[in-house]
Amino acid sequence: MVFNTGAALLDAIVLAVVSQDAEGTYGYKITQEVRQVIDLSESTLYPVLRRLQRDECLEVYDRECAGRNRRYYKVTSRGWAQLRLYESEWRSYSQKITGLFEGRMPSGGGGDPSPEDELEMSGRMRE
Amino acid sequence: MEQLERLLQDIPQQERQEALQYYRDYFDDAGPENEQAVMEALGNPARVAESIRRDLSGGEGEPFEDRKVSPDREMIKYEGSGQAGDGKNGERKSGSRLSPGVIVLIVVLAVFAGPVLVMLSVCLIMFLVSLLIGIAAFWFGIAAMLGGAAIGLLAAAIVLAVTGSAAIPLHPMAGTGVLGVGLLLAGVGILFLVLLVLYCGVVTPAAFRGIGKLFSLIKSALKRAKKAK
Repeated sequence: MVFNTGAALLDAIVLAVVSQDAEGTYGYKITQEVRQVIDLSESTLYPVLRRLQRDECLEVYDRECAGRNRRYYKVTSRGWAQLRLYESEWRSYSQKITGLFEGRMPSGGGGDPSPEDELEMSGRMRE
Repeated sequence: MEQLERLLQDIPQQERQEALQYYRDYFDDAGPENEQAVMEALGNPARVAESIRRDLSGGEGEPFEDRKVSPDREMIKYEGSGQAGDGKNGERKSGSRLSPGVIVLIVVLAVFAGPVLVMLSVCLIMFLVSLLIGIAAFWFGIAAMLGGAAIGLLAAAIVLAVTGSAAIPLHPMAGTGVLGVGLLLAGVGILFLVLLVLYCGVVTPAAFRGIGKLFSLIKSALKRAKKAK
C-alpha cells in the first residue's frame, strides 16, 4: 500500500480485530486477520499486542486447546473505549479526505476543524 | 526458538517468557506444515528479538512515540465517562509535568545565565574569527617567505652574474667564480619559485579539500550518532 499505517491506526486495527471475538482470540489468528487488511511483517504484531496489554486495553488468559495452553487476547473495557474513540476519529478523518477527493472542501461542510484537531490528527497519522 | 531465547537473555524474565510463549503459540497454531513459511516470514531470530527489545527499551516503545502520547491523552478524556481509568494514567501524567517551583527556578536560572551565555558566545565568535585570521596570516607568511626568498635570490644572482661576467676580462679567476656563485643563487632562486608555485597551486587546494573532508566526516559521524540514539 502507498499509505503508511501509523502507530495509532495499527492499534485501532488490532483492537478491532480482537474485538470481533467475544471470547477473545489468539496471536496467530490476529496476525492473519490483520494481514488481510494491511500489509505488515509478522514480527510487528507481538510488540503491539504486548503494549496494548500493558496499557490495559487487552487482557490475556490461557486456555487449554489440543493438549496445550494457548494464550488468548481479549479487549478490556478500557480497550473498548479506546476502540470507540478510534472509530469516531477514523470516521471524521476519512470523511474529510474523501470529501476533499470528491471536490468538497472541508469548509463547505459541517464546521471547520479547529486548528487543535488538525494538529492532533497530523500527530496521530504521522509515520 | 532456542536462538530467540538466547538473544533475549538480557530482558526481564517475565517479558522473555511472554514473548517466547507468544512465538511458541504462533508456530503451534501455524501448524507443522507452515513452519518453514512462518520462519521465513518472521525473518531471522535477531530481528524478532530486536522488535521485542525495541518495544521494551524506553519502557513505552521509543520509536513509536506518538503512539504513546496521544492514546494516553485520549484515555484520560474517557475516564470521565465512567469507562476504564484506575488512576494509573493520572499518576504518569503528573510525573511528567513540571511543578511551578521548578519552572520558577528555570526562569531565574535563565535570567542569570543569559548575560553569561551572551558573553560566552561573543568570546567563541571572536576566538573563531581570530583563528581564521591567524590561519590566513600563516598562509600569507609562508607564501611571502617563499616569494621573498625567490625574488631576493634571483636579484642577487643577476647582480653577481653581471658583475662576474664584466670582471672576467680583467680578473678571469675571480670573475668566473663570481659568475658561478651568481648562477648557483639563480638555481636556488628558481627552486624557491617552483616551491611557491607548488605551495599556491597544489598544497593550498589540497588543504582546503582536507578541511572539507574533515567537515563532512564530522557531519556523517554526527548523523550516525543520531541514528544510533
